[in-house]
Amino acid sequence: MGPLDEELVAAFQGGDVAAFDTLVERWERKIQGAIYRILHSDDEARDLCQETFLKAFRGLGSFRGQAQFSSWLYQIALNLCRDRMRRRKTRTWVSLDEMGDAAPADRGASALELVENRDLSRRVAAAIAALPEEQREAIILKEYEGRTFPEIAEILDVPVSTVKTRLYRGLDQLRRRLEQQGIRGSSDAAVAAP
Amino acid sequence: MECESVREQMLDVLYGEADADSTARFERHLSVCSGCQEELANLRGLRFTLQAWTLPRQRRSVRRFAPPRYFWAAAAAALVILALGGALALAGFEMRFTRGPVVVRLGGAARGTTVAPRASDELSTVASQNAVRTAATNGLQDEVLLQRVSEMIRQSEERQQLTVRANLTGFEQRTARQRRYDLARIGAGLSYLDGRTGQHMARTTELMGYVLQASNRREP
Repeated sequence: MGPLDEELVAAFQGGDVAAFDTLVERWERKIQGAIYRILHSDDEARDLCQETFLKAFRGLGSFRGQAQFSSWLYQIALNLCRDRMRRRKTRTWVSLDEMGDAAPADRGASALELVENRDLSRRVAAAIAALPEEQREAIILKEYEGRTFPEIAEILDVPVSTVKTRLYRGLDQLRRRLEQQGIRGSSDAAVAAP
Repeated sequence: MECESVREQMLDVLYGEADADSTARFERHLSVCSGCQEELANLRGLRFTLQAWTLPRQRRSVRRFAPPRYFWAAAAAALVILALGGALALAGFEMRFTRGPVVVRLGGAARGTTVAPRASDELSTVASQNAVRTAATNGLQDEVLLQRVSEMIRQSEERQQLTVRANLTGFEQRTARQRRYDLARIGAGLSYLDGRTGQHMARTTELMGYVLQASNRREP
């Protein structure tokens, strides 16, 4: 295990620029993944990921550890995503072509399973994209980024109870939407209607 | 009402963030509430379904921020050379090569009056160069940052051009597909109308036949 984020931040603030590269290597994939799940665009995810780290690079000198470094990074990324969404002036859209190159989850799966998984992946992505922004962010941070409730509260700057309310409402809506499409979750397998 | 109050605990249990006390309290409620049992099972099933959304293969988007190591070595070498040059100039170093042997001389005392001002000029030049180098080293982060920004802008523009091209191609394909589909629908509609007209004519002819037969039967 390498140095803690806080140690790397202190090293950077002490003049060690290379410490920032270690932070980038540690968080780049996670941040890029989170942006992708919000914007549904690979190109935009890479652009905004670069911009996130650029902003962090500029601002890290004055970062005083008021939040965890990772929470601060997620905050920057989410703000950039919100700006981008506002600029689009439309609701989130899902490019089915782009979703099509999702990495297969199971190398041993048959072709039919892969096709079914890909279809399910698209449907889940589309259902999440249709959620209100606040619920979508809560679900992505919890379900896909694996942040704890206090961390999400820090990132979104709201109380933990608000995070839980948004998450619960989002999950409830998602379940309804997916069930309307005949997709019912079970602990064994997700069942999609033919 | 109690179900509402344990909802937060349900989420904590669902995501493995509940402490021992809340888990025990929630499980007590769960043992007597079939609604919450069902709700928890549904949420677990949903979480399983959500895992189907996988990410595409990612490419790195951020390059190194720190300059490469040889940069510092080169900067150090440049400083040493500058310092050496400055020292030689201060010592009145002189080298001549005019149709004869190479003459190297330190401490050009013979031309003290002319060398001294030159040495001071050299000294001020070296000092100003050193100042520039120091400023450059201090402003290194800004320089690196600027390079990074221009590189990113270039990459972004390339990507946007690619996206526009891809979108245009997709638009053309969709338009062609839509046109084929519309033509097929128009064709199908015409066939349908044609069929309907044929049926109508057949029915009319059939009716006319009946009328004629009926009128023939009445005549005798």
